[in-house]
Amino acid sequence: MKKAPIVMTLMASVVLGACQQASHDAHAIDHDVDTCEICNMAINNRQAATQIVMEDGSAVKFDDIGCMMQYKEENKEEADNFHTEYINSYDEQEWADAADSTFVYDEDINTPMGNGVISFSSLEEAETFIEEEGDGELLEYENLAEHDWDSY
Amino acid sequence: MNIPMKTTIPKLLSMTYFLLIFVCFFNLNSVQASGEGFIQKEINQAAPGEKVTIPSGTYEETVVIDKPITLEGNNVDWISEAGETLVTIEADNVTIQGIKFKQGDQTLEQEMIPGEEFSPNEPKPTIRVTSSSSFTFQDNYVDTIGSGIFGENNHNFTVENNKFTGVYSSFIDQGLAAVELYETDEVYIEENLVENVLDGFYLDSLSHANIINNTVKNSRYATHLMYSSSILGDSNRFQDNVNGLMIMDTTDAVFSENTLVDQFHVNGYGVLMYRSKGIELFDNEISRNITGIKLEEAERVKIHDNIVAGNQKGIAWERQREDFEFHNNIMVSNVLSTQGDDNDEAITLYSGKKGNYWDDYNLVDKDGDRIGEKPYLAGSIYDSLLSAKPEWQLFMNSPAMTIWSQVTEWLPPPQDAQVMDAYPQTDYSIKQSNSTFSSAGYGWMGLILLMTAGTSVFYFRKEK
Repeated sequence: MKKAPIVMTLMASVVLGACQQASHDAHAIDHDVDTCEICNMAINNRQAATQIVMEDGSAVKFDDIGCMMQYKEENKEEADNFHTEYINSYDEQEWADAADSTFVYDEDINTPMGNGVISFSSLEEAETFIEEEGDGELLEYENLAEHDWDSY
Repeated sequence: MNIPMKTTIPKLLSMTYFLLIFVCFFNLNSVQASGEGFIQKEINQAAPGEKVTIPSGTYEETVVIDKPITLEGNNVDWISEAGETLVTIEADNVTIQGIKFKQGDQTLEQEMIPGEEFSPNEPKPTIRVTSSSSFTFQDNYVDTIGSGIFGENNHNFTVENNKFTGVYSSFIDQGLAAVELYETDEVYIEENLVENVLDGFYLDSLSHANIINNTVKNSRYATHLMYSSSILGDSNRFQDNVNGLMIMDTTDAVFSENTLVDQFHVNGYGVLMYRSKGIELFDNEISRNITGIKLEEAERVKIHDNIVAGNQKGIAWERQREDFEFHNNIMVSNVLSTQGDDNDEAITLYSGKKGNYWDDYNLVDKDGDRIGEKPYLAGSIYDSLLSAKPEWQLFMNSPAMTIWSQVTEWLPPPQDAQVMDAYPQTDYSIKQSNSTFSSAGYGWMGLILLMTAGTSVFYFRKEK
């Protein structure tokens, strides 16, 4: 009987451990180790980095939004597994849900793979950027799939 | 206080004398950054085509060269104290030679906060060349935090016999590229030594570039090509980097007689080709890298006559396309000779009737034509396991895995498609300065020596 509390505690830990939900937060980028899943480049430019966090909490990381779109295209059959697509907003430099972001495309915008698409936390920020730069095309998340992802 | 005047006055005089000498020496050898500096004045006074020789000393100033001149240093240390661009070139026919460009301590403190990131154009390059024709940079030393040389829209650009050195040991904290070029044609990068930078040579949208006889060590990518065409790389040594050659979105590049070794970073590649076309690699040594050669979406690739040895993976591919030629390569001592995407049916590891030497091909050559009677099958059971679960490499060379691999080689399981070398070589030869000597040659030589020794022993014992 003296062992009962220990056994109960162990069983509770196992049950609680099994019930633990996978975190779907964005993963930190380790510049020394992380490379883009598609092009294999080191992910050095935080402003352009993106990632897809899967249902199980694991993350697939990319150096450019274009690479993330290519990954999505090539892994359509696993789309149910994609929990959240994170992008780094150009203005705030923080992880944000791609579905809630606004994007600007211009071929003169310098991104690691030359796709020329960057993201903003809000429509206003994106419009301000276009105004300041004098050029750029607004894209919503829904437009990304149809965008021509040729590199420039 | 009693001061002995007789001894103090000569002491004071001698101190003043030495102080004056020091100040004079300092003034002669140092020009401060404030206002127009000594070098800029010399440049302004020079006639087009003239050679400006900077006298020995230490200088801290920024200059703009807007006329065709040669700027030469004679034991000159040119220091960037605030991380600014020291020389901006806005003219044709400019040559810079024999100068030591260095970063001051203040720059290091301002620009290099360990762990912090900086955007691609910060900190600033030491030399900036824009819209120039016939620029030459030779026999210089550049201690760089930003890029050593940044160039854009140039024609006929030569970087020769220089030494570029970054600052920090961890590559993310280092400078950018030793040479960072955009939209430039007729580029010659020859006989440079580069250490501890982010990219040795970052070449973006270039055409007709020659990268010859350079050494790049302890950097991220030794040579990083993007959107470039007509590139020639010959006799370079890329060692201890993350990647030796990073060839991305590039067309028509030939790399021969290069040594790509010891890229042992966790994501290290001797050569990585991504979305490139018309790339040829031959006569290179690609050894002791995590992955020797990796191909992704590359077209019209020819890889032949290379030594690919001692890598964790000899050659790997993913989403690989057609028009791939792979022959006469020596694949030895790689932990995995090949690792490929299961969906790549288009790959063949031979060209015409020419195959490669694989040291994990254990079948014999019965007819003596130095070609195995059965094909070399890439992607053993173990390879497939490793693709799915890299941690299974713990079982490498375990008895079970060895037996399993051997059995599948003798009795290959039926598969829809198999990547293979239909003409595996059972012998190989290595080129050695205009002469070839095969492994069979070594075997024969050993046999002759053994027979001679045996005969000698037999003869002397009989004599006794």
